[in-house]
Amino acid sequence: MAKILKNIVKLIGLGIIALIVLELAARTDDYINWDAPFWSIYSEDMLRVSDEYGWHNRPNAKYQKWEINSLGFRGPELATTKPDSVLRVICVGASATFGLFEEADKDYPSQLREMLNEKYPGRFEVQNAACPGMSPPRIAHYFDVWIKQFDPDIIAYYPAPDFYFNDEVPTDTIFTRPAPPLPVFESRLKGKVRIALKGFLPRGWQLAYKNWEMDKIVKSHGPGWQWQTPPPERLELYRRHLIGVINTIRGAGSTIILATKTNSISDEKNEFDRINMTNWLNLHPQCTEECLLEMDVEARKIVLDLGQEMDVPIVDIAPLLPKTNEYFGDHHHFSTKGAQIVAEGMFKEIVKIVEADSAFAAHQ
Amino acid sequence: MLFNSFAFALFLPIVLILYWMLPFRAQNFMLLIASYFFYGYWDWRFLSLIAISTIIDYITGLKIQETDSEKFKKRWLWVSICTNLGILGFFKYYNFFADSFADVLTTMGMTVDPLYLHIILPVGISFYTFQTMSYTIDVYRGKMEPTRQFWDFALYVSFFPQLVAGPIERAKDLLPRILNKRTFDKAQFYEGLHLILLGLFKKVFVADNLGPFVDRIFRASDPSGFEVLCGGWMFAIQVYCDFSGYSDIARGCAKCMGIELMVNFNHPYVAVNPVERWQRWHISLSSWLRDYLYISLGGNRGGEMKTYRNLGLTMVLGGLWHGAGWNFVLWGAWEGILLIVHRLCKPFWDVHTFIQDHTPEILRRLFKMFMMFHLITVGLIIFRTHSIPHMWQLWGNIFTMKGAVEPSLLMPLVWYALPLTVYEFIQYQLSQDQWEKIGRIPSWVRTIVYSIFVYLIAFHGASAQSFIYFQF
Repeated sequence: MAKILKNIVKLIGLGIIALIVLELAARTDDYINWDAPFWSIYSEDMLRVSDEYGWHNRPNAKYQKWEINSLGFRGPELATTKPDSVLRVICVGASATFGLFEEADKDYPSQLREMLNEKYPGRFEVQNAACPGMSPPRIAHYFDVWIKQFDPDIIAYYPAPDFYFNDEVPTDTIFTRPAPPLPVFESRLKGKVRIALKGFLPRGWQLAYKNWEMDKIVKSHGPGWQWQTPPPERLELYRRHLIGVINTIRGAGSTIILATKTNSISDEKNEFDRINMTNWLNLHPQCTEECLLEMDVEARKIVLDLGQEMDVPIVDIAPLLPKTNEYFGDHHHFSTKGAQIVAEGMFKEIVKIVEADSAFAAHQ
Repeated sequence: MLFNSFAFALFLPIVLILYWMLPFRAQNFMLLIASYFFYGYWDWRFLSLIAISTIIDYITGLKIQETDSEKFKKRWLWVSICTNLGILGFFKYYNFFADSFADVLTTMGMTVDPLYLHIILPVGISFYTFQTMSYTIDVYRGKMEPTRQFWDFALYVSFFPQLVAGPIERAKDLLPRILNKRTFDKAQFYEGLHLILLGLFKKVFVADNLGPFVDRIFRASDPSGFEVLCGGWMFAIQVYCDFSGYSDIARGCAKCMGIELMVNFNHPYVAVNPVERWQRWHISLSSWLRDYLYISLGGNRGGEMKTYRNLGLTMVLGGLWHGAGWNFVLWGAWEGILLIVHRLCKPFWDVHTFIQDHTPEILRRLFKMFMMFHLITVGLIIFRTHSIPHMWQLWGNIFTMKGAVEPSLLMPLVWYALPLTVYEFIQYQLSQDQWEKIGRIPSWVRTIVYSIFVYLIAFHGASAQSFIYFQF
């Protein structure tokens, strides 16, 4: 009995040693690969902050491939005063614009910067002011309290209606909830294990688990809880908020370009589609598959209609992006190639705008 | 089922638990079912080929023993050889020979449209056909008694750890281990786990991470000489880690079941000449080729010229065993030439020169190792290339050192191959006793080392890639 007990204690001790070594290895790994701090917290949450400006990127934050400049933008440093003969383009939006799956410096605003600088050397400054999770009213607010001081000439906006299909919808009034403080200790190993498991466990198992989780949520709410089609009042709210963004930006004298949103789910419903659809549904358990797909169709119509009604230049991304995993990293975030197509769409529209501007042409 | 897959991570513990819970006879039967499941998980249709080989060789083994007539013994032996080589030839070489035959006719001015068949190459076919053939040949040569235990023989043919990529075990070695009762030995079990971990490290961390760099260089339209050289070095490390990693995992799994499999790789890159290279590289195949092909052809018994012919032929056929392509044949020829040249020049090696007498032994050995490694690498470029003109281009670029030298190309080698090289070098330098003493270091130190291995495999290993040698 004593021997068994001794072995158990020994096993637990060795287990603890293994965990400590693995955790230290994870930290060394982050230090070597990303120049991450060894002892303090290092997580994606470091990239964002919630303060008097709302929910936005934390200035000078750095996490893996993502680097935020001193002004809270993902891009090179920017002078507050705009140099003469330079046009400023600021891209706003949420995670799709911020960039998740693209290689470093290949998010669509970065690629747009490259394209514009190649055609008009020294004439453009392009910034990525997007922040994951930023809904239209928050964008309007952030523009008002922060972005407009940089005197942007053009605001490129790739909006997403997804925020309107959650339990908690964006409201007209912006209230800033302080972000929860970063924990004192967080295991780096845990996050890495989660990512490794995603690659190791069979996809079928992962999908089955996610579907089971979703079914549980749906069943707990009873019949009729799920939307079969996008509720009109949610779409109307989205439309109203987009008008708010347009008016705020125009009010500051900037030109706004809107893009239509698209997703990666093709009609074929191949394996890639099924995985992406399940992940997407997991984010919006109240929606059925049809509801989510319809949501993007309706959202596109709203943007196209607003373009006509309010004379806003529109970049219709939806028909430009093939629905394959070459162009998307998940259900709607772009890959480097996908971001390139979005950048090209924006580039053409910007060229059209500036070429029609006599003042700009005079500087050519 | 890949050793580096989730399915195998589930499969092995279940098999091990069942195995050690069952009585001896049931253990073998369960292992047979597990082995067929392991193979059938990839494609169940090809289980029939293993079953055919098993039945034919089981029967021929018994028939050879039953008859006293040399003529009938030979006839039964040919039944076994023709069946096994027939299956191998059809599934592995049909399209290659059809294509080559059409090419020959075309060069003679005749146009033919060869009949290609859509044949799937059954995984590991070259390994298990050679393994079963060794059984009948050994029975024919009187080196062993045939077994009457059909199910145990079936397990010998299909034993899952070494079924698809070796080591190619001789029946006289493996069958007795299958037929005898095994007892659980904690030290042997731990050694098995150690080998599995080491094999996974070699495969997932080293080989699979070097793979993309090798692919990029060998796919490039006109890589620089230094790039090709680095590509060759990386491929040499990749193919070694891929294959010896598989062998280590196979040996580890078998050890966990109390069954010893032969060592298939013994620090091949420390070889100082081509003979030693083949005594250290894919030992189970090279010894098979020596015992069943080279010796059958006459070995070194018919004079020098016949010895060279036999060496060359054995290596060319050994090359062809690796794959149905002219690059494999040429690679075999290259290895044959190295062996022949080494044998031709052997008398000169022993002549003492001034340089030899005044150079420390270690330096001379290192120089020879360096030269041998590069001769292997040059040969592996033929192995890896996709066409003969491509091979000439790559060789040309190396020997003319075309283009710029980019030292950054060495980084993948330093990062992925250096830790293992240091490990293997220490292992090579130490005697078995000293190495075992290292193995007895306190468990907390071992836990630290293993944790680092696990970390690198789990978080820096490339995702599940199939083993290069599966295609053979």
